[in-house]
Amino acid sequence: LSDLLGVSETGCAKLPTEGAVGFDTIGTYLQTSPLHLELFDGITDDALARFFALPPDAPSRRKIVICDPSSGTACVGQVLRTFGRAAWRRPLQEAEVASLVALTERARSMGEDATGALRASMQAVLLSPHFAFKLELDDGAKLPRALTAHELATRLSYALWSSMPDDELSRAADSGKLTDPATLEAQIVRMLDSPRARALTTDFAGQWLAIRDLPAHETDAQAYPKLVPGLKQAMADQLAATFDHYLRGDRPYVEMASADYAVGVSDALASYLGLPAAGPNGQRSLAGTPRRGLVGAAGVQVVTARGAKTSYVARGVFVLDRLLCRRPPDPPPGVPKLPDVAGAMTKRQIADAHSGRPECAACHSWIDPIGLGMEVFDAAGRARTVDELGNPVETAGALPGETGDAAKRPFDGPVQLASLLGSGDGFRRCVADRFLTFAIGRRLDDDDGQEWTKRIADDAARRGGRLRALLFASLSSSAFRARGGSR
Amino acid sequence: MSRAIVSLPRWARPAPARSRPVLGRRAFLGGCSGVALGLPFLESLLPRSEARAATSTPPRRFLCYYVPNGVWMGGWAIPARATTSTFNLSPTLTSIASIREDTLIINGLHNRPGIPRPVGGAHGTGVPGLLCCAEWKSTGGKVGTSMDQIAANAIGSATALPSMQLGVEKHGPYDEIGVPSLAHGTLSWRNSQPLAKVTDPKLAFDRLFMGVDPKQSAADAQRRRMLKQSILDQVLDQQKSLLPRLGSEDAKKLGDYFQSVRDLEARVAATVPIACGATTSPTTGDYRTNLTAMHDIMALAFQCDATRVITFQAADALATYGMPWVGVDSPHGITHTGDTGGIQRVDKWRLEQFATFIKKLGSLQDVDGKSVLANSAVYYTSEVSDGGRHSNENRPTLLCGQLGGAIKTGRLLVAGTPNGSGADGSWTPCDEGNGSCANQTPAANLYVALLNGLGAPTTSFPSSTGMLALT
Repeated sequence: LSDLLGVSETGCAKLPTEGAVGFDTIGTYLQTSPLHLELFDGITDDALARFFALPPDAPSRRKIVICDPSSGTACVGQVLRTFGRAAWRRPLQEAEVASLVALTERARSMGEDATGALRASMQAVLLSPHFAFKLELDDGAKLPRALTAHELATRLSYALWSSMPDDELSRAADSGKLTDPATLEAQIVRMLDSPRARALTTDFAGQWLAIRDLPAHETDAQAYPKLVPGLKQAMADQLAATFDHYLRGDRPYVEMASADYAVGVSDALASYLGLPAAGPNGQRSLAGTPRRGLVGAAGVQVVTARGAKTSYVARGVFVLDRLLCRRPPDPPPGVPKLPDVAGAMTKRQIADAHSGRPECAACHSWIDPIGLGMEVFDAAGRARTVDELGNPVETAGALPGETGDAAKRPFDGPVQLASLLGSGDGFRRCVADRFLTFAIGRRLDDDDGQEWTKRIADDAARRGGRLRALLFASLSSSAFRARGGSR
Repeated sequence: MSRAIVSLPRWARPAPARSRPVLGRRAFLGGCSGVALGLPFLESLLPRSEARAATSTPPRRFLCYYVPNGVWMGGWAIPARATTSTFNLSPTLTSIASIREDTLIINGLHNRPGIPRPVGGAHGTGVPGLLCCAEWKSTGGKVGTSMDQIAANAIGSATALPSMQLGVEKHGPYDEIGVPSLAHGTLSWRNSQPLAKVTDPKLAFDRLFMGVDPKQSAADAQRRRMLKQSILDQVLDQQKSLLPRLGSEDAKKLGDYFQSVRDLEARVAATVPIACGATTSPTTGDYRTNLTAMHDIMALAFQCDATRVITFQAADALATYGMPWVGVDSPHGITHTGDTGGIQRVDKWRLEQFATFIKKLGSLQDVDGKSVLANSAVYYTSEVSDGGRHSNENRPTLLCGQLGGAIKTGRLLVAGTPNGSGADGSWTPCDEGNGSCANQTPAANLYVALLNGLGAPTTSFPSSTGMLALT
């Protein structure tokens, strides 16, 4: 809406979300309740009021109001055709234009002036599902089918920019050339280079790495007085900067999992964590610390903690779900009360007691050993030697094998965990899975998904292994370019 | 019971009627300040709702006050004896001792449709199953219409908002097995469409007073309404050409979207004013601050007759927030740890907040001189019975308020006797075929009784076997 009208932030943050597993781009999570519509109506009211408060010669206003609407219906039709093309991300049919022009005339007959009447029709454009939804109409076509150029432009633009196509992409869609591989690839490169690709960090990485959840995550302030306000934001900024570093830089993206240096760490955060001064390139060495890569980032430790305590379960799930795309199912129903853990003196003994039941062990024997191997970090993200129970921290952990039936890979502490993540295929492919899921707006099903993420990750590796190569490989894949089944 | 001065905070107290052009001079004299004076609530200030003013019948109201993750039934359950006023409160229920006379405690209700079949996702099926009494999985999410929405269909047109859906937090994204997270995001469903709730107290407050613009003349307001209706009509016209072109899941989403457009149109067209003027927005903050703010907003909404139907989630199932003030890191997590003391601290704390809210409703005066509570039914419950077991037999059920005489409070109602020992709140699981629920009553029977008491006459509700007598 902001990009469309050239007015600033319009209050969409008020729209309630019920939370989505993975990404809020996934269609299943899209909500269309009366509340949403009521709020959205108010948001469009405000946005249009601000739009018409712009000076008549403001570029964004002149781009839409291309003639004088009081001059008659010919101009009104032109304006609505232009505005509708941008808002609905496709050319309007003549019947659609006529219906909107008729609304303008009705509004005039109610006493609105030319601008007020135009504004009414513009609001109808915005309240239309053609604006609110990325509609991909099959019209009975056999699935899977290739996306049309306009559908492809919309998918691309929301995947990389979280917003509508710009003029150049729209032109490529209008001419139909966008479905041509060479044009598509050139557009992807151009879009990745655009400053608007910052949206990848806020929207894709923001959800993938829980960066969005971090600032509001509750940590027990009494237990951790040194975690002063601002530090959680600094941790979130560090994760975002890390993603940016790989998006813009030359290093292969798998190093995100295992890098022995950190970027984007503010001085305050560095002093809190005891990290050395930044070198001339802004990087801080992690040598001599238990930190490597994403599992060593303070933000990851904080967002997986519960109040005053760490949760080896939440940490294990974070690694399995977000870094390996092997999210364990939620606990089954009729979960029995856990056996009495009185007498269990250490976290490992507690975990072992809990995993003693077969219905729990099915998942917890995977989850718990990962989280236990990260116990060296406290709930506020700092390294420690003694845990909440007063025991020396656990360091021994185990990561599942690359395939379901392969043997677990034991590790000692987070440095070795990071090294395992950085060397296997699991993380490499999981990033492809996460991005493709975000970009397509639906979860990949198991068989197709694994095949596609493998292909995309391999393609990215052939192209040098940078994050840009991975995004490029994802968006130029036929999984992204087709609708209804990823093959 | 004496009606104390209203304890709403300043922001929530109805303001003088300067912002309500529909009110005349008397509004300034009595205005909503009448509330603070304990005067009958605005009876004389309702010129545009003749129906309400002309009858001495006060509104009937319903509120479902939901708490997540069940309770520890070992501490909650009152051993079934007789329908008597001399029973002893269970250790957990001593937290509502102060509202005992306004409370009907019900034993022996089950809600079999809330149980996930096939197994998996007890919270996700329990929440939509709670007021819909329909199974999520076997219906593929087509849970129909919840009991509160049936009430809203019948009595909602009398108020500015047919119903409100409120909560205090957005739950984290937790898909359960076969149940997407949005299933447990709301208790209110209409034709299987989830009606999203508002969790921001400021937003909830603003919605109460939406469209109240003191600077606008009546003619201008009317013109604006008609213009907005024309706009929405144009959008609705697009439905005919669009729906046939969609796949079934998309068609459902789009159908819901257009239904929402129609709702908005109805709300724009409605001229029912709310019976109070806007005042300043509530204070928001951490969970406890927002819970109190939502309590105040709900009291205000009932008192100002902005709505008569509310579903409220005091917290969300499965969320991972902590409750350090009772020493609990994860209210859901703890239900599966066997730390019954911790679960009970959560249960008791929630009940204490609830009791404070009920006392507030009891202190507000309604148009008939009785309390708002006396004309309301507030249903306190959870999506599962015992949280640790995900059970759905012998559900925790409280009913507060007298619903204008339809409910006799201050007693225990034994609606059934679950099979099994009941040791540690554990009974034979209620499931198809084993007959374990034969001696219990479906929660749907309670809903039949409530709907009749609310002015939405019916003889049945999905899964009901009759009507539960509440007097």
